[in-house]
Amino acid sequence: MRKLTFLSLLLGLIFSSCRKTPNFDELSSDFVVTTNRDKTADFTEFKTYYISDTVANLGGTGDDSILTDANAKTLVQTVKDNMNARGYTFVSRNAHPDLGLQLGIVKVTTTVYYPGWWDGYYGWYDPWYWGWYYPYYYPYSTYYSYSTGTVILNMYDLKNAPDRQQITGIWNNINFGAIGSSLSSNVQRGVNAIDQGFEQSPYIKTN
Amino acid sequence: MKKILYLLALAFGTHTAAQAQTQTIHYTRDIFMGSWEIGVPTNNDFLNKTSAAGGRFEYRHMINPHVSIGAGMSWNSFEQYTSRKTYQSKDGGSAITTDVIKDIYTLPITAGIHYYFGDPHAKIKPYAGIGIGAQYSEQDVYFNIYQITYNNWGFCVRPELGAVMPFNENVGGFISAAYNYSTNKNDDFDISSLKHFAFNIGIAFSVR
Repeated sequence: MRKLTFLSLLLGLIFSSCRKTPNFDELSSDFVVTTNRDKTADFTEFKTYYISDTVANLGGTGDDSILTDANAKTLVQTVKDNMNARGYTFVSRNAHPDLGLQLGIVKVTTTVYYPGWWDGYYGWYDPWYWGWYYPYYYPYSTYYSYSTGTVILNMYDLKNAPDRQQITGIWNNINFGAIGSSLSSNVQRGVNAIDQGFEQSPYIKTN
Repeated sequence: MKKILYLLALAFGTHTAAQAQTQTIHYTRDIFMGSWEIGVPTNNDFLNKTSAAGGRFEYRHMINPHVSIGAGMSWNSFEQYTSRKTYQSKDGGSAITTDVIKDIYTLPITAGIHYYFGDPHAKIKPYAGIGIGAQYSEQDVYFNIYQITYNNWGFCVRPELGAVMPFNENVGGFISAAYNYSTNKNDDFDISSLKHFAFNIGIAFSVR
C-alpha cells in the first residue's frame, strides 16, 4: 500500500515534467522590427534630410568601420525611398538638412561547442557500469553556430540643434534576428525591416 | 440451560452476521486516478487556444461511502502561434512587429474533498468536489530566436464535477470537468490570473 502510494507519486512527478515544447519552425525568419519615437517631436515641421551613402559597421564583421559596398547602398536607398515617399527632400550635408539619418549594422556569430569524450568525460561506458552515474556524452566533439544581425537606423533633429545646443535623436528603428549564410537574403531582411519600420511609423511625414 | 444455549446461539449468530456485513462494505479504499486532461483557457487575453497536452494524477481516500479526501496534480502545456503583427507600447512611443509563439505551462497541486451521489455500489457514481492548493506556472513568449520567460506561483481553487464507472472491484473509468482558477500574476504579459476549464478522462485504480 505504501509502495503503491510512493510509486504513484513518483509517476506523477515524472509525468508532470512532461511538457510539450512548441514547434519553433513556425516562427518566421524575418527580422523583429522595433521603432521608438520621441513623443514631443513634431515630424511635420521638418522638410529636408541627409543620409550618408555608407553604413556604419558597429561590430562583429570584418575590420572596416564603415561599409560602402553595393549592399550598403541598397540599405541606404531603402531609407531614402521611404523618406521621399513621406514628403521629405534629400539634400547634401552642407545644405543644412533638418534631419540627419544614420544606418548601422551589427553582426554577431555565436558558436556552441560540445566537448567529446577525450575532453575528460567517460561517455563510452554505460552510466550504470560503475555503480554510479556518469554523464553521457557523444564520443566526438561537435559544434554549431548561429549568427544574428542587427540593423539600426537613427534619425536626428538637426534643425533645432543650435537652439537646444544638442542633437536630439527623435526616432530610431532597430531590427534584429537570426541571419543565414546567404548575403543577399540577409540584405533583403534588412530592406524588408526598414520598410516595415516606416510602415509602423505613420507619424513620419512632412505636411 | 436451553435459554443459555439459545442466547449464545443468538449472540454467535449476530456476531457472525455482523462480521459478514463489515466484510462486504469496503468503503475504506484508496483510489489512484490517472487521466488525460484537456485545458480550455477562459477570459485570457494572453492566450486562448485549447491544449490537449495535459494530464492529471490524483489520490483519493474514501473516508465513508460518500466522501473522499485526497490530493492531485495536473499539468498542461498551452501554446498559441500568432502571425506577424505590430504591437504598440502602452505610452505609444514604441512599436514592435514580429510573429510570436505564446506558451503557458500550468501545474496546479490541490488537496480536495469530494462527495459521491447515489448508491455506493451503483454502476455510475457521480461526484462533486472542490480542491484548493497552489499552482506553479510558466509563461513564455518566443519570437525569432529569442525567448522571454517568467515563472510564478499562485493560489489555486478547483471545483469539479465528475463520474466514476467501476469495471470491477479494482479498476474503473472516470470523466470529469473542473474549473481551474489560480492567482498567478504577470504584469509584463498583462496576466492578472490564470483560468481554464479542465476536462479529464482516465482510469481509477482502487486498493483496500
